[in-house]
Amino acid sequence: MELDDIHTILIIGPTSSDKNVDLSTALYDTVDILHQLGYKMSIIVEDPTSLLSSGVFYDKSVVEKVTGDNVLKYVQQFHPDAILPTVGDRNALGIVSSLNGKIGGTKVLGANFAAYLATFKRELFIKRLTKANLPVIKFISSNDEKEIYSFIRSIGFPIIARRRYSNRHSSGWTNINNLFELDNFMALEDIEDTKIEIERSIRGFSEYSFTIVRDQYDNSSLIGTIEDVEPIGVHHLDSNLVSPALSLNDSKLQRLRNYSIKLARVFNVVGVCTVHFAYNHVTKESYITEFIPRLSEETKFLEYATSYPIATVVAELCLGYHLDKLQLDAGSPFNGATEPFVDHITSRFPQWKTPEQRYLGPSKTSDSSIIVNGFSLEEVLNKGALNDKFNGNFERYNELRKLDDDELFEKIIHPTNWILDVLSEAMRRNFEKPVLSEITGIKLPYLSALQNIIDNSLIIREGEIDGKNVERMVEMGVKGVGHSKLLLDSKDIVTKTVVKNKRAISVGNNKYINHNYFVTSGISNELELSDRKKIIVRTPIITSKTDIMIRQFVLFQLAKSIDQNGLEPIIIGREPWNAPLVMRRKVVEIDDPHMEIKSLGLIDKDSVLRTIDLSKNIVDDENEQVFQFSAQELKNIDLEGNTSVRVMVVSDGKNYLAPSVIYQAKRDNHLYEVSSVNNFMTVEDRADIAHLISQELENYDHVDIYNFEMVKSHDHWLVTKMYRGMTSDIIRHELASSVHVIDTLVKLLLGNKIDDDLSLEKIFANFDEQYLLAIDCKRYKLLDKDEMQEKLTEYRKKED
Amino acid sequence: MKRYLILEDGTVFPGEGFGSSIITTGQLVISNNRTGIEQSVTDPDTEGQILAFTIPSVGNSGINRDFYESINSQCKGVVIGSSSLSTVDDSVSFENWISSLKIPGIKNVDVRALAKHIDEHGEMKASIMDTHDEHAIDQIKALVLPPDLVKRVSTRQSYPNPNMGLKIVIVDLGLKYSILRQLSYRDCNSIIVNYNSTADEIINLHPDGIIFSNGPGDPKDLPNVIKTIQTLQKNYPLLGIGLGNLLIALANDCQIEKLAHPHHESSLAVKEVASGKIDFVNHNHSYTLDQKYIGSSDFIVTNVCVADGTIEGIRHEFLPIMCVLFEPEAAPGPADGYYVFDEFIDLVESAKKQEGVRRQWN
Amino acid sequence: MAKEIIDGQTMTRALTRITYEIIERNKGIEDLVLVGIKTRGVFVAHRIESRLKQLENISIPVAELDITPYRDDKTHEEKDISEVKAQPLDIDINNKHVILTDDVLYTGRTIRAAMDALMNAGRPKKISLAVLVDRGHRELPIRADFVGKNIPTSQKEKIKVSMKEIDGEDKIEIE
Repeated sequence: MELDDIHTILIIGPTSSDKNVDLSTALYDTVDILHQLGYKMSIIVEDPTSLLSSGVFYDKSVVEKVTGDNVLKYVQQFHPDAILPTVGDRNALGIVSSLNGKIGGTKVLGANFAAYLATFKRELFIKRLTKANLPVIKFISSNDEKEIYSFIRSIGFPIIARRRYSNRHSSGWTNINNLFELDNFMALEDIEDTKIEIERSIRGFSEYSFTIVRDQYDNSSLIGTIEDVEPIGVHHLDSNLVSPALSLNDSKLQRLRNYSIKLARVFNVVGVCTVHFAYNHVTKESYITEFIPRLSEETKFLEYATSYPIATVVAELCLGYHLDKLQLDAGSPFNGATEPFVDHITSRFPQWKTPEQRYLGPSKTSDSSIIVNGFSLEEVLNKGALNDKFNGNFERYNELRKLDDDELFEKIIHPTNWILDVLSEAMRRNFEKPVLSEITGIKLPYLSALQNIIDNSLIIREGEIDGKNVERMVEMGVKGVGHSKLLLDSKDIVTKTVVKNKRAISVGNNKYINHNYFVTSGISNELELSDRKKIIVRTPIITSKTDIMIRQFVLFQLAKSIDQNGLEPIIIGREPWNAPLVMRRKVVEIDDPHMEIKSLGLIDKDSVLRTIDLSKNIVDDENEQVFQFSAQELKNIDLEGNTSVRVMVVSDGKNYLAPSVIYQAKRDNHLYEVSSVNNFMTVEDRADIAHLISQELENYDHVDIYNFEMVKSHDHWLVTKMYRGMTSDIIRHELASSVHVIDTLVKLLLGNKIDDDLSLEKIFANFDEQYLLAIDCKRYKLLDKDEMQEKLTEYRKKED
Repeated sequence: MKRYLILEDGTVFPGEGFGSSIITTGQLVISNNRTGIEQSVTDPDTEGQILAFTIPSVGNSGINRDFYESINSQCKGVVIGSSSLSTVDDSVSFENWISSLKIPGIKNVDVRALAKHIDEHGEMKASIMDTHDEHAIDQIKALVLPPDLVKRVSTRQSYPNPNMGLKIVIVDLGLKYSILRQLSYRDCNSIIVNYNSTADEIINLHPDGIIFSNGPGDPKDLPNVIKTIQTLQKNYPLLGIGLGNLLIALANDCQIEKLAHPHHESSLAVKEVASGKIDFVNHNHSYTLDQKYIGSSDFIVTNVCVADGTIEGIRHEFLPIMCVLFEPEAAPGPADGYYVFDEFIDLVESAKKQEGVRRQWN
Repeated sequence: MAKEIIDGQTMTRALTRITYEIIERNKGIEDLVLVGIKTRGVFVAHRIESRLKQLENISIPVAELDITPYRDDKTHEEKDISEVKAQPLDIDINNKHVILTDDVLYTGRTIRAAMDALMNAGRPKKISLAVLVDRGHRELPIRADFVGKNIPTSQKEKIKVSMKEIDGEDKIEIE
């Protein structure tokens, strides 16, 4: 059944660029299933801490710049049977398309070379699609006036045009809507060898994306559809996204579905393919604007929205499995031949680090995103894009109120990331909806939903909440109404805040069990918990990529550890967390954007052993049952040195372990960091450091994690910084150390103790065989013991 | 106005009334159709049914009257969660459309809870009412749904859908227009006849092939149609769709059964047994074929539902008879099933050519 | 330039339909034997075999017949086909109903050669012919019992059948 000539696979890993989306869960799922199915894997990766796993899945982890040269070098040396580029973001596709003809018998999985090349080369993309009779934006590049005018006659206005000069540079695109503008453009004097490029303009079209999976037997299924609230012209990932694409009627939906499947067939995509469309609801024109034959932000979003395990499925499809005969792990069969049915809306809205307004355009400016679920547009808007907690909408409202109508109109014409707030304000001032829709390209149903929210928030402001409208409020996702006494104590059957599973009731979904829930409205709860004692983990809103990585990692380790200790992990966050598949079926995950779950009383207090909170500042609580996981500074001395260590300590209140010590050396303007230096430390160093730790911990008598920074000065160690809780070093500590700090912490929280009178060897015990060397926090190397010893000796020579 | 959806087992779902304000009763069907509200509401299969749509933001995509599957609306009521107040193409809003069809509707219903209840307890009668007291519940329990659903939707008079190709007679058990659209596309010269037409009446039309269409209700209520099939099948290529499939199976001593989890979804995977090819097609059926009887009959199973193994298509081993339980005409749903009509055309053409050869072989 | 006239899906459907017709015209498929003419005829035979197996749960034997060097639909050079010694079949065809399969039916000479070879190998009860494409221009009185697709062609045109097993994809092109 599967491709039986493939045994060894090279995975092109992610680069460590901050611009990339975080595909760590998808990568983990991919290698996990391939490992279980018995494939041997290697990976090229820049930052091994981005793998969520400590190399157990890999035969070889090559820590290098992820470039074509390095991939080629690896292939020529080790001759893997296949290369898998689907988890390496855009970079991996570029690498693969440059390898055509250079890698001998090594297969490329996921699609053919032409596909990968066509994601970069517009001309090839257009040629292939035109040949296959797929709708693509017509494009001409010519210096023949006759040809140009005949092309313009054939496509009509509006068009966009630019000049491409012989030095391969080009002017910017100009919008041309009529003859007058065309004359102006053409009248410019041409420089020698200039080509004019003209395209049909699709500004203001609606944007949709369809994601399908396909097996090598030409079976395809549509996993999900997404629509952008903002029109084309605003970058897809700066737009508010909604899934499923609610605004497509049957014939439109089927047309775009057929195009997507046909495109995947044209490029022989075996795996996953996301196809982007521009659709004009007035003229009913549609164009394919791009396709993405790999895992991406879209697939990640759809995996949240549909619970379909896309990453796992894609890995198996690439290797030749039948779509209907897949496995979730070695032994549990999974039918991938399903077009997941969702009965609710999932919305992704972009996040910016700073609160000011930004103009939106074709280049991405957002820093991250948050995802919410709900049963109506009003609900997802209120819980997401209009959720004050996420976006400071109340501040925005106050700012916008100060604008006069003309100033407000300017904001409507030039969309910013405040566009929904701007539109709300415009509708409060009774601007006409059809006009607003035409100018902004935002579809009418969204404006109606906004209007509905405005009308009802007026009621709130005027304090008229009563039995009649309160249920309506709850349905719209208005914060803090659904668990009012009025509803919870009502004798009648009423709509109130409840918890529902993300899985809709459908013949196609029946066999796929998960425990992913969201807080929403309805008449009954679906939350099902096991008899096991529970540990609740609460997670905060996170916007930076580094923090997302840390959250992914920490939640995964926590959940694993809680489960392995016989307890049920319940993860509650303002936004959803998709655990790697192996844990997704074991953790209870609840999205709770308004933080309402506690007031619903659905989780029996007596069954909860502990609550672990990952927020920087715990808002509410309450009792000492809550363990704060993130770092609090206890000590900070302003002292710098060229040699220092960072020690992670886990303590039961009496004894402690220090399983991970990172050595840091500043030499010749470079910063070298060596993980798990425990195994290289001298007896004196150990004694010194242990002594300092004991001193500092004297006054702390409860279970906790501590992070120390110590600087070596005049041959002595000095504690310069001390934190309780987790710092961003956690991934490096955890990955580097064979003693799992997080697991140890969970055990201690459950009442286990560290043995008394441990020897220094035991306290610092670490069984690593590979050591991570980080240079300037940018480049990483994995070294074995002898290599590392050599490096260390070199650094130590220059210790002060 | 606050209204209630009341099930025959006494379960009550509150909501907000829209559309017609009459009290309505019918068989409650949960529809997981992703699109095509227009098709569902006008599909004769939904005669006598209260349709509960589980998709969110119903009507967002607009109402397109080109999608009608019959001239009039058929269903007795609609139940939805959230609806969209305006449409993307500025067509009439869903609620206004339902009002214009004079169908009672109820919105803001917890359709997830409703779907879950039906999934666990099976399909049942329901009513949309203004109150939910004991009296109302007793009324629903006592109500007997009429068994003559097909009679009500079948055309009374025969009518042609002329073209230049093969002559196909369609026995209208609740025919969807999209079946005619597919036949027109293939140049078929079709004649649509009442469900109670006799075999002789049909033979007199000199068909090249005969289609027994989709339709509502329990096939056992249609003994005459079964007799007609038994006469016709010896001499004519047959295509059974949905209800038509069930009747052809019954005419050949097979049995049918109610599905524990009924199929009402516009895109469920069906696998072609011979080739392993997977197609996504529209399903709208509560009955299926009993595997035991098919196994010992002259039928071979040609299609199965990938999710639950339900038989979705059969073919006679020796006679030119093919059947599908799903809706190959889609409307709504993916176009993957259109090939069924091509296969039927092939079957009819090949039967025409092989007329002589068959006698020789048998 | 080659023009695709049949895509993978249509080819799949055609093979499925041939399979249904084989079932329909044979009461029971127990005494069937499929003999594929190399190269693509063998894949046709195997595909029909796998369909029959899926539908009827019976495995019927498939044999290969190699007459490649003597196919006259590639050159117009006359050859004495009766001289051809085909590879002996590795299955017993005595008293069996043999269904001979090939990709393209053209002059009929290949089929005649194949029938001769079959006759040399035993005494089948009956021989039928199944082809993916019938393109006309017969030079012998031979007719296929099961045809995937009739494609009218001029003699100058070439029909190129691609099959996944050997060509990577399923399609039929005309050039």
